[in-house]
Amino acid sequence: MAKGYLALVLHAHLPFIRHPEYDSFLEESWLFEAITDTYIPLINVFDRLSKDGVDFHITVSLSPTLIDMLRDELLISRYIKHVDKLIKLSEMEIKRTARDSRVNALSRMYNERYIETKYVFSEKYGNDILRAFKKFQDLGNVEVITCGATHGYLPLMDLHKPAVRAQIKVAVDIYKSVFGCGPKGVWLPECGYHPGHDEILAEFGIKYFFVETHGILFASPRPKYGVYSPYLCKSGVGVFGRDLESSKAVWSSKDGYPGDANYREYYRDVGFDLDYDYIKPFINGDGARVNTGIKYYKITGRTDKEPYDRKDALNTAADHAGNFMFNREKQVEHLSGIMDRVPVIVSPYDAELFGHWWYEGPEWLEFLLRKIYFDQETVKTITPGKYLELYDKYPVITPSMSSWGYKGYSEMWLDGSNDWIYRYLHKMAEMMTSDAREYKDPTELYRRVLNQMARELLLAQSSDWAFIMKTGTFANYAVNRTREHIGRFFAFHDQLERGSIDMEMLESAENKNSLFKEINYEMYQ
Amino acid sequence: MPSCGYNESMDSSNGKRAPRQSVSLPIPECWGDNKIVLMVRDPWMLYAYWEIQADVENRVIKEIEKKGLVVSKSVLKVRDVMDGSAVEGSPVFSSFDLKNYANSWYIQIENSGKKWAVDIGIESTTGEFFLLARSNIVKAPFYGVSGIYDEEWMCSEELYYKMFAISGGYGIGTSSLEMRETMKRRPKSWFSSGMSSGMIEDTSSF
Repeated sequence: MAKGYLALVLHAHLPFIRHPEYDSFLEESWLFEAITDTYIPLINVFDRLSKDGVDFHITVSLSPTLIDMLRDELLISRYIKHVDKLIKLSEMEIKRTARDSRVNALSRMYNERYIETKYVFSEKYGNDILRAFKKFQDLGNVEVITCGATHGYLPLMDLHKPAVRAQIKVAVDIYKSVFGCGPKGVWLPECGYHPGHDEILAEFGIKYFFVETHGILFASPRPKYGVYSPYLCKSGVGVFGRDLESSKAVWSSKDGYPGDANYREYYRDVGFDLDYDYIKPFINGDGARVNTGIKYYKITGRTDKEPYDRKDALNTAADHAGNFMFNREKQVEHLSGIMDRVPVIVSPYDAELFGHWWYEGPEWLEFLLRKIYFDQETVKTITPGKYLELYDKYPVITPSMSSWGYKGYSEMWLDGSNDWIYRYLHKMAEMMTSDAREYKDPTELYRRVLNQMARELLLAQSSDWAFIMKTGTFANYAVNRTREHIGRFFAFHDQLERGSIDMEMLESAENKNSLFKEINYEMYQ
Repeated sequence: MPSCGYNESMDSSNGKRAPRQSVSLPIPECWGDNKIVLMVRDPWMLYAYWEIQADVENRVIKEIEKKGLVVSKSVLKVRDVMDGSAVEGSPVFSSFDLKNYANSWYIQIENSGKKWAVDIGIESTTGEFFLLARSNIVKAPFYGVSGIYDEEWMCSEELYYKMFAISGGYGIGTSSLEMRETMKRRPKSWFSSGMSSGMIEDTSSF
């Protein structure tokens, strides 16, 4: 039997971005890049491990907005065009780099990867990669969990409990529609926990969630096992704390693996490096240079960049996987000597780190899972749902309010750059609740309006907008999106009051913000 | 104090490209409410926003004048609400003079895990306070280890602090400083919200 467990958690999320009113839209490429660089490479890793009989266990949270984008026909058709363009660009690159064998080998690598990506996306999984995650869940390797409906940051929503509840209810409904059962766990958006929200999770049958390290360490009463055992809230829902040591190994720029000189450099992309006329058909529609995904350099150092060497990079990934496993073995050996139960190390990461930012991340994960299975007996992988089945009793605590954002609380989403949104979000939640109570037996048309109001509210609550306003990059888009949802919500509310519905606006809104098709505004009653 | 404050930050944006979509729907600046809302940011900071109606303000001013007093200033009073106590009469922790048509305020508090509420009102020249609106009550988290023990799950102090240290207890906050640098350097083209949020340090500065 293993002396301890490692619970790897990958949180996959992107905000809902879909612009049918444009032929192409820059921010839609966030999804396309994530599919190409992260989701399909991870699926390929899971497929290879499964084929080779490796017994691995990992948790993946898929946010409801991501799920709805991954099954949206318009975005799927645009994604296929996107991959076709990448295939074409990589073909041109093979010709362009013919005289440089090292770079040419990379051009060929990209070409092969893009062709394989299209095959996996379109043919193997029939344009529905959610099927892949369901398959791995059914095989018992992946525990897919949910998140808030639109990744709304719940601690700052606490004033209006029906709004918190709606974020969870919609998420659970979306999850059931894809996976045919309720989610065992939830990744609270931004790992943001407010005492009492576990009761809402319990209402929907959710068995566990995660908090940042100090959410456990500052809990009451004092947690006996630090972050190396789950606890139960009074509601009966389990809570796991993030392990800092293993998180740092991957996240840290000073000591973290992704900063190794052999890994691929993210910031040198042919979208910026090559002649404008040559690259123009493959960059943004408005002519602005963007990353294409084809990159030929390794991190090297801070100044001169050397050509990327795939073999060296993979050897480094294997070394790093070995180092990570060794450190977890030591950690577990130490913990098992002082704990009276089997320790579990919880290591959550954003899924998009793997492959998109850290190009070799998926391979690192594959090496790690193979090594854990084949090379030692001290540590085994586990999912939180499985760990909770190990013991009959767990200590009961109230975790502390916390998040995994800047300073560990809510400053990231509440500061001078974004605080203006809360008077709107709170008012919208208040009005949604009162409208839901007022219109108990509406006409079909009114029901459509009320449902669209619920969608606009949920979309305005997405933590991504406040985050982007804070960081400054793409702030214009975040401000406009927030204002757009607020404006539409209040317009519909006025139309309900006046008894005059603007059909053109309603149909346009339903077409554009088409997520959560089965939403029922009555959840706000 | 205006009944409807205009928040300049609504127009602020650091994006360099012009928005490609027209945002034609107006968003209201106020709703005719007379209220103040209090939120918790962290163990050391609260945030309050408010909307006060002119007729309510005028009524209070008349009340002040009726008493033969003179209006001095608009004031925000932060109250330390004891468990089970009413806000009324709770001790005032701090007080701020409101200027320049403010309609929101960040309020520094002590790290205590206590409950808080705020009153917004008008003070006379004699220092008498007249209420315009009272907020909801919030509880700020306590930044520190709980003093409460569970007898069923007790362990020695030595072991407890050992687990605390191994869990990274003494490193909490380190990541925050590093995050500040991260924010300056973060993605130039693409990111997911959670990606940066969960970072302990920047991975893009190699």
